[in-house]
Amino acid sequence: MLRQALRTAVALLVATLVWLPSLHLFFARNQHDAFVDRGIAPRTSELAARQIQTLLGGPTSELGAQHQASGEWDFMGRTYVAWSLANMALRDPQAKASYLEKMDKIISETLAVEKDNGFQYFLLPYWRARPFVANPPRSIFVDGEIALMLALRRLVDDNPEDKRALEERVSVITERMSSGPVASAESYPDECWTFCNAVALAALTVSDVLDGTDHSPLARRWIETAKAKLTDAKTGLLVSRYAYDGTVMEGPEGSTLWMVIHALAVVDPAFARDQYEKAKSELAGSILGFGYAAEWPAEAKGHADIDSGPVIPLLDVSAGSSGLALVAAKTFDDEPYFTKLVTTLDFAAFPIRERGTLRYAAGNQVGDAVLLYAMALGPAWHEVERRKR
Amino acid sequence: MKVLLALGILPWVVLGVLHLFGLRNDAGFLSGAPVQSATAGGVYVLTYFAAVVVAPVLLLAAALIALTKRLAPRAS
Repeated sequence: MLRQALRTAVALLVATLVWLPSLHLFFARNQHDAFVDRGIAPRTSELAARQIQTLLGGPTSELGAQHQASGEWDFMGRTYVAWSLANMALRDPQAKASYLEKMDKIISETLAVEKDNGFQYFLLPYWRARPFVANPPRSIFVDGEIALMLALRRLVDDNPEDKRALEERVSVITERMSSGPVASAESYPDECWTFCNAVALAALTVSDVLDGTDHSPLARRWIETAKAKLTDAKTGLLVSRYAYDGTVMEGPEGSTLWMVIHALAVVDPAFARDQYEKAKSELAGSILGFGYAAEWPAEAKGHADIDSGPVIPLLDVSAGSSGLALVAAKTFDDEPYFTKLVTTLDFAAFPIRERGTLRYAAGNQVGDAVLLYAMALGPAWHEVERRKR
Repeated sequence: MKVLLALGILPWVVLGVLHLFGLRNDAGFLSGAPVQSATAGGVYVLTYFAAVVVAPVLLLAAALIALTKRLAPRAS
Protein backbone atom coordinates (compact mmCIF):
# COMPACT_ATOMS: atom_id res chain seq x y z
CA MET A 1 0.00 0.00 0.00
CA LEU A 2 2.74 2.42 1.08
CA ARG A 3 4.82 1.35 -1.89
CA GLN A 4 1.91 2.01 -4.25
CA ALA A 5 1.31 5.46 -2.77
CA LEU A 6 5.00 6.27 -3.10
CA ARG A 7 5.02 5.09 -6.72
CA THR A 8 1.98 7.25 -7.49
CA ALA A 9 3.55 10.29 -5.82
CA VAL A 10 6.81 9.85 -7.75
CA ALA A 11 4.88 9.34 -11.00
CA LEU A 12 2.87 12.52 -10.36
CA LEU A 13 6.04 14.47 -9.61
CA VAL A 14 7.81 13.26 -12.74
CA ALA A 15 4.70 13.90 -14.87
CA THR A 16 4.44 17.45 -13.50
CA LEU A 17 8.11 18.10 -14.19
CA VAL A 18 7.66 16.89 -17.76
CA TRP A 19 4.30 18.50 -18.54
CA LEU A 20 4.51 22.01 -17.14
CA PRO A 21 7.69 23.05 -18.99
CA SER A 22 6.25 21.49 -22.19
CA LEU A 23 2.81 23.10 -22.01
CA HIS A 24 3.76 26.30 -23.84
CA LEU A 25 4.90 24.30 -26.85
CA PHE A 26 1.28 23.44 -27.59
CA PHE A 27 0.38 27.16 -27.82
CA ALA A 28 3.54 28.81 -29.16
CA ARG A 29 3.39 29.93 -32.80
CA ASN A 30 5.99 31.72 -34.85
CA GLN A 31 4.99 35.41 -35.01
CA HIS A 32 7.62 36.54 -37.50
CA ASP A 33 5.09 37.39 -40.23
CA ALA A 34 3.72 40.19 -38.02
CA PHE A 35 7.19 41.78 -37.92
CA VAL A 36 7.45 42.25 -41.67
CA ASP A 37 6.11 45.57 -43.01
CA ARG A 38 4.47 44.00 -46.06
CA GLY A 39 1.47 41.70 -46.08
CA ILE A 40 -1.18 40.91 -43.51
CA ALA A 41 -0.58 38.04 -41.10
CA PRO A 42 -3.53 35.59 -40.85
CA ARG A 43 -4.15 36.46 -37.19
CA THR A 44 -4.29 40.16 -38.11
CA SER A 45 -6.86 39.46 -40.83
CA GLU A 46 -9.02 37.43 -38.49
CA LEU A 47 -8.91 40.03 -35.72
CA ALA A 48 -9.66 42.82 -38.21
CA ALA A 49 -12.60 40.92 -39.70
CA ARG A 50 -14.17 40.59 -36.28
CA GLN A 51 -13.56 44.25 -35.41
CA ILE A 52 -15.03 45.49 -38.68
CA GLN A 53 -18.02 43.22 -38.21
CA THR A 54 -18.56 44.59 -34.69
CA LEU A 55 -17.96 48.27 -35.43
CA LEU A 56 -19.47 48.59 -38.87
CA GLY A 57 -21.55 45.59 -39.76
CA GLY A 58 -23.19 43.84 -36.90
CA PRO A 59 -25.83 44.59 -34.31
CA THR A 60 -24.90 47.48 -32.07
CA SER A 61 -25.78 45.66 -28.84
CA GLU A 62 -22.13 44.75 -28.13
CA LEU A 63 -21.00 48.35 -28.60
CA GLY A 64 -23.89 49.62 -26.50
CA ALA A 65 -22.96 47.25 -23.69
CA GLN A 66 -19.36 48.32 -24.01
CA HIS A 67 -20.32 51.98 -23.73
CA GLN A 68 -22.35 51.16 -20.64
CA ALA A 69 -19.25 49.52 -19.14
CA SER A 70 -16.93 52.38 -20.10
CA GLY A 71 -17.11 55.37 -22.41
CA GLU A 72 -13.32 55.11 -22.71
CA TRP A 73 -13.58 51.53 -24.02
CA ASP A 74 -16.18 52.64 -26.54
CA PHE A 75 -13.84 55.38 -27.78
CA MET A 76 -10.61 53.39 -27.78
CA GLY A 77 -12.36 50.45 -29.40
CA ARG A 78 -12.80 52.79 -32.37
CA THR A 79 -9.43 54.54 -32.39
CA TYR A 80 -7.27 51.41 -32.10
CA VAL A 81 -9.14 49.82 -35.01
CA ALA A 82 -8.77 52.97 -37.12
CA TRP A 83 -5.02 53.13 -36.39
CA SER A 84 -4.77 49.43 -37.26
CA LEU A 85 -6.54 49.94 -40.60
CA ALA A 86 -4.06 52.68 -41.52
CA ASN A 87 -1.17 50.30 -40.86
CA MET A 88 -2.94 47.53 -42.79
CA ALA A 89 -3.46 49.88 -45.75
CA LEU A 90 0.29 50.56 -45.77
CA ARG A 91 1.00 46.85 -45.47
CA ASP A 92 -1.29 45.90 -48.34
CA PRO A 93 -1.48 48.76 -50.88
CA GLN A 94 -3.73 46.76 -53.21
CA ALA A 95 -6.45 46.68 -50.56
CA LYS A 96 -5.85 50.30 -49.51
CA ALA A 97 -9.18 51.62 -50.79
CA SER A 98 -11.12 49.02 -48.83
CA TYR A 99 -9.24 49.74 -45.58
CA LEU A 100 -9.62 53.50 -46.04
CA GLU A 101 -13.34 53.19 -46.64
CA LYS A 102 -13.73 51.39 -43.30
CA MET A 103 -11.39 53.80 -41.56
CA ASP A 104 -13.37 56.77 -42.89
CA LYS A 105 -16.60 55.29 -41.56
CA ILE A 106 -15.10 54.82 -38.11
CA ILE A 107 -13.70 58.36 -38.10
CA SER A 108 -16.93 59.99 -39.30
CA GLU A 109 -19.08 58.02 -36.84
CA THR A 110 -16.75 58.90 -33.96
CA LEU A 111 -16.77 62.58 -34.88
CA ALA A 112 -20.56 62.51 -35.19
CA VAL A 113 -20.95 60.94 -31.73
CA GLU A 114 -18.57 63.53 -30.28
CA LYS A 115 -20.47 66.37 -31.99
CA ASP A 116 -23.89 65.13 -30.86
CA ASN A 117 -23.00 64.20 -27.28
CA GLY A 118 -19.89 66.20 -26.44
CA PHE A 119 -16.43 64.79 -25.77
CA GLN A 120 -17.62 63.84 -22.28
CA TYR A 121 -19.56 60.95 -23.85
CA PHE A 122 -16.24 59.11 -24.12
CA LEU A 123 -15.10 59.78 -20.55
CA LEU A 124 -15.73 57.85 -17.37
CA PRO A 125 -18.51 59.36 -15.23
CA TYR A 126 -16.11 60.78 -12.66
CA TRP A 127 -15.38 63.69 -15.02
CA ARG A 128 -18.40 65.34 -13.37
CA ALA A 129 -16.69 65.41 -9.96
CA ARG A 130 -15.00 68.78 -10.49
CA PRO A 131 -14.42 71.41 -13.19
CA PHE A 132 -11.61 71.37 -15.72
CA VAL A 133 -8.81 73.79 -14.82
CA ALA A 134 -8.28 75.04 -18.37
CA ASN A 135 -11.22 76.58 -20.16
CA PRO A 136 -13.15 75.89 -22.24
CA PRO A 137 -13.23 72.24 -21.10
CA ARG A 138 -11.64 69.71 -23.45
CA SER A 139 -10.00 66.35 -23.02
CA ILE A 140 -6.59 65.59 -24.51
CA PHE A 141 -7.67 61.94 -24.34
CA VAL A 142 -10.32 62.57 -26.99
CA ASP A 143 -8.47 65.26 -28.96
CA GLY A 144 -5.19 63.32 -29.08
CA GLU A 145 -6.63 60.01 -30.24
CA ILE A 146 -8.91 61.63 -32.82
CA ALA A 147 -5.95 63.67 -34.10
CA LEU A 148 -3.92 60.49 -34.49
CA MET A 149 -6.78 58.82 -36.39
CA LEU A 150 -6.94 61.78 -38.79
CA ALA A 151 -3.15 62.01 -39.11
CA LEU A 152 -2.74 58.31 -39.92
CA ARG A 153 -5.63 58.52 -42.40
CA ARG A 154 -3.78 61.32 -44.17
CA LEU A 155 -0.47 59.48 -43.95
CA VAL A 156 -2.00 56.69 -46.05
CA ASP A 157 -3.84 58.99 -48.45
CA ASP A 158 -4.20 62.73 -47.97
CA ASN A 159 -7.41 64.66 -48.55
CA PRO A 160 -8.51 68.27 -47.87
CA GLU A 161 -11.38 67.41 -45.53
CA ASP A 162 -9.22 65.44 -43.08
CA LYS A 163 -6.47 68.04 -43.46
CA ARG A 164 -8.82 70.75 -42.15
CA ALA A 165 -10.10 68.53 -39.35
CA LEU A 166 -6.55 67.62 -38.30
CA GLU A 167 -5.36 71.23 -38.41
CA GLU A 168 -8.16 72.18 -36.01
CA ARG A 169 -7.25 69.42 -33.56
CA VAL A 170 -3.54 70.17 -33.83
CA SER A 171 -4.20 73.82 -33.10
CA VAL A 172 -6.24 72.97 -29.99
CA ILE A 173 -3.73 70.39 -28.75
CA THR A 174 -0.79 72.73 -29.27
CA GLU A 175 -2.48 75.66 -27.57
CA ARG A 176 -3.56 73.63 -24.53
CA MET A 177 -0.34 71.67 -24.03
CA SER A 178 1.77 74.81 -24.51
CA SER A 179 -0.20 76.76 -21.92
CA GLY A 180 -0.08 73.98 -19.30
CA PRO A 181 2.42 74.41 -16.42
CA VAL A 182 4.05 71.06 -17.29
CA ALA A 183 3.38 71.18 -21.04
CA SER A 184 0.42 68.85 -20.57
CA ALA A 185 -3.31 69.11 -21.15
CA GLU A 186 -6.04 67.58 -19.02
CA SER A 187 -7.65 64.25 -19.86
CA TYR A 188 -10.06 64.65 -16.95
CA PRO A 189 -10.60 67.67 -14.73
CA ASP A 190 -7.25 68.54 -13.11
CA GLU A 191 -5.93 65.17 -14.19
CA CYS A 192 -3.36 64.63 -16.94
CA TRP A 193 -2.34 61.21 -18.24
CA THR A 194 1.03 60.49 -19.82
CA PHE A 195 -0.86 58.08 -22.12
CA CYS A 196 -3.04 60.84 -23.61
CA ASN A 197 -0.33 63.48 -23.82
CA ALA A 198 2.10 61.04 -25.47
CA VAL A 199 -0.52 60.01 -28.04
CA ALA A 200 -1.19 63.71 -28.73
CA LEU A 201 2.54 64.30 -29.25
CA ALA A 202 2.62 61.37 -31.68
CA ALA A 203 -0.28 62.96 -33.60
CA LEU A 204 1.61 66.28 -33.74
CA THR A 205 4.71 64.50 -35.05
CA VAL A 206 2.73 62.77 -37.82
CA SER A 207 1.05 66.08 -38.71
CA ASP A 208 4.50 67.69 -38.95
CA VAL A 209 5.62 65.29 -41.68
CA LEU A 210 2.31 65.80 -43.48
CA ASP A 211 2.17 69.59 -43.36
CA GLY A 212 5.79 70.66 -42.92
CA THR A 213 5.08 72.19 -39.51
CA ASP A 214 7.41 71.85 -36.53
CA HIS A 215 6.07 70.95 -33.11
CA SER A 216 9.38 69.56 -31.92
CA PRO A 217 9.96 72.43 -29.43
CA LEU A 218 6.73 71.49 -27.62
CA ALA A 219 7.66 67.80 -27.74
CA ARG A 220 11.13 68.56 -26.36
CA ARG A 221 9.61 70.68 -23.59
CA TRP A 222 7.20 67.88 -22.66
CA ILE A 223 9.95 65.27 -22.60
CA GLU A 224 12.35 67.43 -20.58
CA THR A 225 9.55 68.23 -18.13
CA ALA A 226 8.60 64.55 -17.95
CA LYS A 227 12.20 63.56 -17.23
CA ALA A 228 12.43 66.16 -14.47
CA LYS A 229 8.99 65.97 -12.86
CA LEU A 230 6.99 63.03 -14.16
CA THR A 231 9.47 60.22 -13.59
CA ASP A 232 9.39 57.76 -10.71
CA ALA A 233 12.61 58.20 -8.73
CA LYS A 234 13.04 54.51 -7.88
CA THR A 235 12.53 53.03 -11.33
CA GLY A 236 13.16 55.88 -13.76
CA LEU A 237 9.81 55.08 -15.41
CA LEU A 238 7.27 57.72 -16.42
CA VAL A 239 4.37 58.05 -14.01
CA SER A 240 0.86 57.50 -15.34
CA ARG A 241 -1.28 60.30 -13.89
CA TYR A 242 -0.62 63.80 -12.54
CA ALA A 243 -2.46 67.00 -11.74
CA TYR A 244 -2.48 69.96 -14.13
CA ASP A 245 0.32 71.56 -12.10
CA GLY A 246 2.45 68.40 -12.35
CA THR A 247 1.78 66.93 -8.90
CA VAL A 248 2.08 63.17 -9.35
CA MET A 249 -1.17 61.32 -8.63
CA GLU A 250 -0.21 57.81 -9.66
CA GLY A 251 3.17 56.20 -10.34
CA PRO A 252 4.17 54.02 -13.30
CA GLU A 253 1.64 51.43 -14.44
CA GLY A 254 2.05 49.01 -17.31
CA SER A 255 -1.34 49.54 -18.93
CA THR A 256 -0.36 53.18 -19.49
CA LEU A 257 3.39 52.97 -19.92
CA TRP A 258 3.59 50.49 -22.80
CA MET A 259 1.37 52.70 -24.96
CA VAL A 260 3.29 55.82 -23.91
CA ILE A 261 6.47 54.09 -25.07
CA HIS A 262 4.87 53.22 -28.40
CA ALA A 263 3.65 56.78 -28.95
CA LEU A 264 6.96 58.37 -27.93
CA ALA A 265 8.84 56.03 -30.28
CA VAL A 266 7.86 58.32 -33.14
CA VAL A 267 8.52 61.51 -31.14
CA ASP A 268 11.84 60.74 -29.43
CA PRO A 269 13.00 57.21 -30.29
CA ALA A 270 16.01 57.24 -27.93
CA PHE A 271 13.95 58.26 -24.90
CA ALA A 272 11.24 55.74 -25.81
CA ARG A 273 13.78 52.93 -26.11
CA ASP A 274 15.29 53.83 -22.76
CA GLN A 275 11.80 53.67 -21.21
CA TYR A 276 11.15 50.34 -22.97
CA GLU A 277 14.29 48.79 -21.57
CA LYS A 278 13.48 50.03 -18.08
CA ALA A 279 9.85 48.87 -18.38
CA LYS A 280 10.96 45.44 -19.53
CA SER A 281 13.29 45.11 -16.61
CA GLU A 282 10.62 46.27 -14.12
CA LEU A 283 7.41 44.82 -15.55
CA ALA A 284 8.06 42.02 -18.03
CA GLY A 285 8.30 38.40 -17.06
CA SER A 286 8.02 34.86 -18.31
CA ILE A 287 7.05 31.62 -16.60
CA LEU A 288 7.46 28.24 -18.28
CA GLY A 289 7.57 29.90 -21.71
CA PHE A 290 4.51 32.11 -21.14
CA GLY A 291 5.16 35.86 -21.26
CA TYR A 292 3.34 38.39 -19.14
CA ALA A 293 3.59 41.96 -17.87
CA ALA A 294 2.96 43.21 -14.38
CA GLU A 295 0.90 46.34 -13.86
CA TRP A 296 3.30 47.92 -11.36
CA PRO A 297 7.03 47.79 -10.65
CA ALA A 298 7.84 45.83 -7.47
CA GLU A 299 8.96 49.03 -5.74
CA ALA A 300 6.01 51.20 -6.75
CA LYS A 301 2.76 49.33 -6.20
CA GLY A 302 -0.49 50.95 -7.28
CA HIS A 303 -4.09 49.86 -7.21
CA ALA A 304 -6.14 47.99 -9.82
CA ASP A 305 -8.48 50.05 -11.99
CA ILE A 306 -10.42 49.79 -15.24
CA ASP A 307 -7.20 50.10 -17.26
CA SER A 308 -5.26 47.37 -15.51
CA GLY A 309 -8.06 44.80 -15.85
CA PRO A 310 -7.93 41.82 -13.56
CA VAL A 311 -4.59 41.51 -11.75
CA ILE A 312 -3.35 38.08 -10.64
CA PRO A 313 -2.08 38.45 -7.06
CA LEU A 314 1.57 37.77 -6.10
CA LEU A 315 2.82 37.99 -9.69
CA ASP A 316 0.78 41.18 -10.33
CA VAL A 317 0.16 39.86 -13.83
CA SER A 318 -2.24 42.26 -15.49
CA ALA A 319 -4.38 41.61 -18.55
CA GLY A 320 -4.28 45.31 -19.51
CA SER A 321 -0.52 45.61 -19.09
CA SER A 322 0.17 42.32 -20.89
CA GLY A 323 -2.05 43.32 -23.84
CA LEU A 324 -0.40 46.71 -24.23
CA ALA A 325 3.06 45.20 -23.72
CA LEU A 326 2.47 43.58 -27.12
CA VAL A 327 2.21 47.08 -28.62
CA ALA A 328 5.54 48.19 -27.13
CA ALA A 329 7.30 44.89 -27.89
CA LYS A 330 6.22 45.13 -31.51
CA THR A 331 7.33 48.76 -31.72
CA PHE A 332 10.86 47.79 -30.67
CA ASP A 333 11.00 44.58 -32.74
CA ASP A 334 11.21 42.49 -29.58
CA GLU A 335 10.03 39.32 -31.28
CA PRO A 336 10.93 36.87 -28.47
CA TYR A 337 8.90 38.76 -25.83
CA PHE A 338 6.06 39.42 -28.30
CA THR A 339 5.88 35.71 -29.15
CA LYS A 340 5.77 34.71 -25.49
CA LEU A 341 2.95 37.20 -24.84
CA VAL A 342 0.92 35.82 -27.77
CA THR A 343 1.56 32.30 -26.45
CA THR A 344 -0.02 33.34 -23.15
CA LEU A 345 -2.97 34.87 -24.99
CA ASP A 346 -3.64 31.68 -26.89
CA PHE A 347 -3.31 29.66 -23.69
CA ALA A 348 -5.31 31.76 -21.27
CA ALA A 349 -7.48 34.27 -23.15
CA PHE A 350 -9.81 31.74 -24.81
CA PRO A 351 -9.54 32.50 -28.52
CA ILE A 352 -12.72 31.92 -30.52
CA ARG A 353 -12.42 31.53 -34.29
CA GLU A 354 -15.67 31.73 -36.27
CA ARG A 355 -16.08 32.15 -40.03
CA GLY A 356 -12.75 33.85 -40.58
CA THR A 357 -12.93 36.03 -37.49
CA LEU A 358 -10.99 35.90 -34.23
CA ARG A 359 -11.81 37.26 -30.83
CA TYR A 360 -10.68 36.43 -27.34
CA ALA A 361 -13.51 35.39 -25.05
CA ALA A 362 -11.62 36.47 -21.93
CA GLY A 363 -11.36 40.00 -23.28
CA ASN A 364 -13.73 42.48 -24.86
CA GLN A 365 -13.92 44.53 -28.04
CA VAL A 366 -11.37 47.12 -26.93
CA GLY A 367 -8.99 44.36 -25.79
CA ASP A 368 -9.22 42.73 -29.21
CA ALA A 369 -8.76 46.14 -30.86
CA VAL A 370 -5.49 46.63 -28.95
CA LEU A 371 -4.34 43.16 -30.03
CA LEU A 372 -5.21 43.98 -33.63
CA TYR A 373 -3.16 47.16 -33.37
CA ALA A 374 -0.24 45.25 -31.89
CA MET A 375 -0.35 42.83 -34.81
CA ALA A 376 -0.78 45.53 -37.49
CA LEU A 377 1.47 48.37 -36.29
CA GLY A 378 4.86 49.07 -37.78
CA PRO A 379 4.50 50.56 -41.26
CA ALA A 380 2.98 53.89 -40.11
CA TRP A 381 5.80 54.75 -37.71
CA HIS A 382 8.37 53.59 -40.27
CA GLU A 383 6.73 55.82 -42.90
CA VAL A 384 6.91 58.81 -40.54
CA GLU A 385 10.58 58.10 -39.88
CA ARG A 386 11.21 57.83 -43.61
CA ARG A 387 9.50 61.17 -44.32
CA LYS A 388 11.33 62.85 -41.45
CA ARG A 389 14.61 62.06 -43.18
CA MET B 1 -3.77 3.96 -11.94
CA LYS B 2 -7.38 3.64 -13.04
CA VAL B 3 -8.32 6.52 -10.76
CA LEU B 4 -5.62 8.72 -12.32
CA LEU B 5 -6.80 7.72 -15.77
CA ALA B 6 -10.42 8.53 -14.96
CA LEU B 7 -9.51 11.86 -13.34
CA GLY B 8 -7.36 12.70 -16.35
CA ILE B 9 -10.14 12.04 -18.85
CA LEU B 10 -13.02 13.56 -16.87
CA PRO B 11 -12.08 17.27 -17.32
CA TRP B 12 -11.86 16.80 -21.08
CA VAL B 13 -15.30 15.20 -21.21
CA VAL B 14 -16.81 17.96 -19.07
CA LEU B 15 -15.00 20.62 -21.10
CA GLY B 16 -16.37 19.15 -24.32
CA VAL B 17 -19.91 19.30 -22.96
CA LEU B 18 -19.50 22.88 -21.68
CA HIS B 19 -18.00 23.88 -25.03
CA LEU B 20 -20.96 22.42 -26.92
CA PHE B 21 -23.26 24.52 -24.75
CA GLY B 22 -21.30 27.64 -25.76
CA LEU B 23 -19.99 28.45 -22.30
CA ARG B 24 -16.62 29.55 -23.68
CA ASN B 25 -18.25 32.90 -24.52
CA ASP B 26 -18.92 33.46 -20.83
CA ALA B 27 -15.18 33.55 -20.09
CA GLY B 28 -15.61 37.27 -20.85
CA PHE B 29 -16.47 37.75 -17.19
CA LEU B 30 -12.69 37.73 -16.61
CA SER B 31 -12.41 41.18 -18.22
CA GLY B 32 -15.63 42.51 -16.79
CA ALA B 33 -17.37 42.19 -20.16
CA PRO B 34 -21.13 41.60 -20.00
CA VAL B 35 -21.81 37.83 -20.24
CA GLN B 36 -24.89 35.65 -19.92
CA SER B 37 -23.62 33.94 -16.77
CA ALA B 38 -20.43 34.71 -14.88
CA THR B 39 -20.90 31.50 -12.88
CA ALA B 40 -21.03 29.44 -16.06
CA GLY B 41 -17.95 31.32 -17.28
CA GLY B 42 -16.17 30.52 -14.01
CA VAL B 43 -17.01 26.82 -14.35
CA TYR B 44 -15.75 26.83 -17.93
CA VAL B 45 -12.48 28.54 -17.01
CA LEU B 46 -11.79 26.17 -14.11
CA THR B 47 -12.62 23.12 -16.23
CA TYR B 48 -10.42 24.38 -19.06
CA PHE B 49 -7.39 24.79 -16.80
CA ALA B 50 -8.12 21.45 -15.16
CA ALA B 51 -8.16 19.85 -18.62
CA VAL B 52 -5.09 21.62 -20.00
CA VAL B 53 -2.84 21.88 -16.95
CA VAL B 54 -3.87 19.13 -14.50
CA ALA B 55 -5.38 16.34 -16.61
CA PRO B 56 -2.27 15.72 -18.75
CA VAL B 57 -0.21 15.37 -15.56
CA LEU B 58 -2.61 12.70 -14.30
CA LEU B 59 -2.59 10.89 -17.64
CA LEU B 60 1.20 11.02 -17.84
CA ALA B 61 1.47 9.72 -14.28
CA ALA B 62 -0.92 6.88 -15.12
CA ALA B 63 1.21 6.05 -18.14
CA LEU B 64 4.39 6.09 -16.02
CA ILE B 65 2.85 3.77 -13.44
CA ALA B 66 1.68 1.40 -16.15
CA LEU B 67 5.17 1.44 -17.63
CA THR B 68 6.88 0.71 -14.30
CA LYS B 69 4.43 -2.11 -13.63
CA ARG B 70 5.30 -3.68 -16.94
CA LEU B 71 9.01 -3.25 -16.41
CA ALA B 72 9.08 -4.29 -12.73
CA PRO B 73 8.47 -8.05 -13.20
CA ARG B 74 11.18 -8.19 -15.83
CA ALA B 75 13.61 -6.42 -13.48
CA SER B 76 12.87 -8.88 -10.65
